[in-house]
Amino acid sequence: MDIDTYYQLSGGSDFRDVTSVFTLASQAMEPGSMVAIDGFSLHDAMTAIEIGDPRLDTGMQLEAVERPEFDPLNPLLPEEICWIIDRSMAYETEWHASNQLAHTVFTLLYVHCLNDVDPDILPILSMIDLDPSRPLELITLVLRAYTSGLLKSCNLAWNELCKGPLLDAEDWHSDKSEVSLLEGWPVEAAVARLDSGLTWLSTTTKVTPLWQEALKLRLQFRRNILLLLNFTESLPRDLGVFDEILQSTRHCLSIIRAHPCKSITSSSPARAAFDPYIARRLNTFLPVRIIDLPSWEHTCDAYERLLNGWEDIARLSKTYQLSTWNQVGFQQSWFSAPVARPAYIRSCAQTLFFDGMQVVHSQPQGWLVDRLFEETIGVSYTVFAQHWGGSGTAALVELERRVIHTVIPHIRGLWNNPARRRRFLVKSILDWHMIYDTLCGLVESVDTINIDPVAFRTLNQFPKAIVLWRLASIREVILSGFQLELYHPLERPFAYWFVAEVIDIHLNYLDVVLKGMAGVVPHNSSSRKEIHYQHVFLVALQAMSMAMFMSLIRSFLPNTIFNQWEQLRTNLRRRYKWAFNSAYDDYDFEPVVLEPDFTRFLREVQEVQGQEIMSNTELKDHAEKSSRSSSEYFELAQRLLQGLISTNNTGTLEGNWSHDRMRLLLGMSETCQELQSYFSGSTSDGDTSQILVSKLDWTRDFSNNIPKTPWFPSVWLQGGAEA
Amino acid sequence: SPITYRLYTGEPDLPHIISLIASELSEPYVIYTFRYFLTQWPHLSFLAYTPQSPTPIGVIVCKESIHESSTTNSNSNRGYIAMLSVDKRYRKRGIGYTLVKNSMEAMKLDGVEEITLETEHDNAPALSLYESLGFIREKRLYRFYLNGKDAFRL
Repeated sequence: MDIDTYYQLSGGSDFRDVTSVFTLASQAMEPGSMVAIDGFSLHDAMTAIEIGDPRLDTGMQLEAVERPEFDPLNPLLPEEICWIIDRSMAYETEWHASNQLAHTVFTLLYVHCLNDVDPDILPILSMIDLDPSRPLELITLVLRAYTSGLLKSCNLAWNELCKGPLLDAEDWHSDKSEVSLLEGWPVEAAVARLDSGLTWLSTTTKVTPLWQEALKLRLQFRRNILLLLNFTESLPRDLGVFDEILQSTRHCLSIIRAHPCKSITSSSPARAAFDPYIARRLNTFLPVRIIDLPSWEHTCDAYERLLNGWEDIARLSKTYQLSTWNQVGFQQSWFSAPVARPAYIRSCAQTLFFDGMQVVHSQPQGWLVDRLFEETIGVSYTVFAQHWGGSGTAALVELERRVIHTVIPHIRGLWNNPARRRRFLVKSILDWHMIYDTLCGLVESVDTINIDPVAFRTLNQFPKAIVLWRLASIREVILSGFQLELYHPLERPFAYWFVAEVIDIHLNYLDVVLKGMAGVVPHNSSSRKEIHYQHVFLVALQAMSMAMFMSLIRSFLPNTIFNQWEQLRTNLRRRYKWAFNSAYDDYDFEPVVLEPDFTRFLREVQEVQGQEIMSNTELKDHAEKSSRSSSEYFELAQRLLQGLISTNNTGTLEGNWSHDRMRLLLGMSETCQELQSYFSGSTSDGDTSQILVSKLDWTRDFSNNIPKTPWFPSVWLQGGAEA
Repeated sequence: SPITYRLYTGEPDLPHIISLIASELSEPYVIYTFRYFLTQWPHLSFLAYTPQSPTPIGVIVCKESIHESSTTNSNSNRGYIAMLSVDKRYRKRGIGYTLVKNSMEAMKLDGVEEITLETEHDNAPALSLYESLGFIREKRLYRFYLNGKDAFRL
């Protein structure tokens, strides 16, 4: 063994061949038998590593790969430095997209030898700086500063992700492979180093003005990103400074985007600066994975998403309305799911809302209880609590605890990745009912003889507030199934029908809550304003859902649902298993909305297919609903949506969030038109029974088609163009 | 030419199974993962053969275990399809369908009440196959695979 190998072998060199020991022991075993520890699990099996398996053993390299030699002090041209920086930016966005550091940022080899390019310990530069077109300061000052800033940026993001509730190995990867992210180094020092690089670039004559500007822009961008990461933790302090840096970063990004660095030659020594297989030489257990670097456009888009996320975080840091947090939490994933927004931003939102001690960095947890009721029904929780001696008394402590332990995970959960978010919402449906049950029990215990009727009516509003939150969660669970592409074609009509049912009940409760507000809650209150918006929006959403239910049923061959009902019913019981949860039996009060009524669903399917005239008095309540055609439902929805759009009514949301709400309204309105045209289209003989549903696009592949709405399909014309 | 199917019989089948799986599936598995399934549930794993090939052209590997439901407070016997692979050259002949049917029938004989599996969210042929057998996409699992892709749990 040569001397280099000797020193490189981990574990030293005192290895002894024990193959004969295993060979002898295995002679006592039959072929195919296995000796395993007690409780040998699949996890145990999958976490084993076969030494020498190139797919899993990161140190194994089957073929000699010719790699250009990397010398950190190899002089480079300014455009080569620029190319390295741009490439490292792409890798940084890939780390934020939940890839490993070892497969992304750490592939930049300068990360591992910052000390080797420290000008303070190098020999006198003039002795080694021999090429005027490749001044060594480009490496020792500019690239070193940039790389230090990059590592420090990753460090700050890592710290946030680590303290937040997002899952390692799912939303992000924490493994640092024992590579320093300059953890102990102050941010100010990184900023100072970037400033030194900027100063040199501004004053040097060794670099042409074109590349001076390009490199300065990139150093400035890095500096801004670092400051944004640093300032995020202290929001909303220094909000003005934060906003300024954010706008400056947007400006930098727009120029960088417009002027990407051109590609370098294949023989350029700069190419040696990246080793996609660096994980083989790092202390990591995950297999090497070569990341396909995104295009420059996609990289800039990724940074833009980070900047947009920061803008949201800044706004949220001064948002003390629980309902706003709830609405923003719902809508921030509507247009991106099933893809998740950057994990770092989601983590910031979660820790901003609750950092383990305080809510929105300054409020006690009990504040949530008051906000929940004040904002939903316009009445302070103290009005309720006074009947039991006030907040925190023995009668109410369990209720308050449950509210806090439901609201905090609910809000934070909205910033989970879309798949986990849905599962979390499913779980929360029971949690909300627990609170409802407790409240109903308390209200029931009130002495109705000695209480003012208005006061009693107000008390009854409190359980209804919880119903509204629970129904919104149920609605989101059902509708997010479309975003996550979960539904089989036969399930879709049922999903639309069920969500229409849930919305029907939600609307009834909104009416009751509004009635209960009479004389108690001012007409211009924000809770009324939001209820009014929700009312119109939900009627529109319900109408679109009913239209889809009817249109999809008609698009099937007759009796399809009935012929496949046995299988479909089994699937629906599984799909909506949360609605059949036996845990509800443990509570005193019936949940508002639980098991879907399959019988009524089938009756309505029959009615839509025109096979049976409805005469049952039970269905007279639904006469209005069932008498409309799908076309009329789309028209109704569009009218309502246009009403909100034309009056610029986005409820209580403001700024970008209001724009997002408006975008949803516009998308839904356009979708109404498209779907109405699509479903009312007929064949040449006027037969509408065989509508080609295959032209509806339910996929959420954002590379080809950005859907106008989160929950309804796009319409693709023949030839593949979107309608 | 006719495709024949038989149960996994032992260690001599293992190298061919590993080869089939490694060549077709993106997720890398160590030999212990194969042994975990095949040693404990050999009666649930099937291989497909054709006279044109001395080695199997398709394989399915499964397990079954007791699963506790979070919503019904009861336990159920649940089957799990761990791996399914058919040689590219022999696809679209119903081999995958037959392998899955064979395993499902074997699991039903053991009293299995439900069967689950995961597959990449964009694996259209696998999704189509399983959905034709009545599977539904129960949940989506974010970045489930090492290559970063989401999975559907069917």
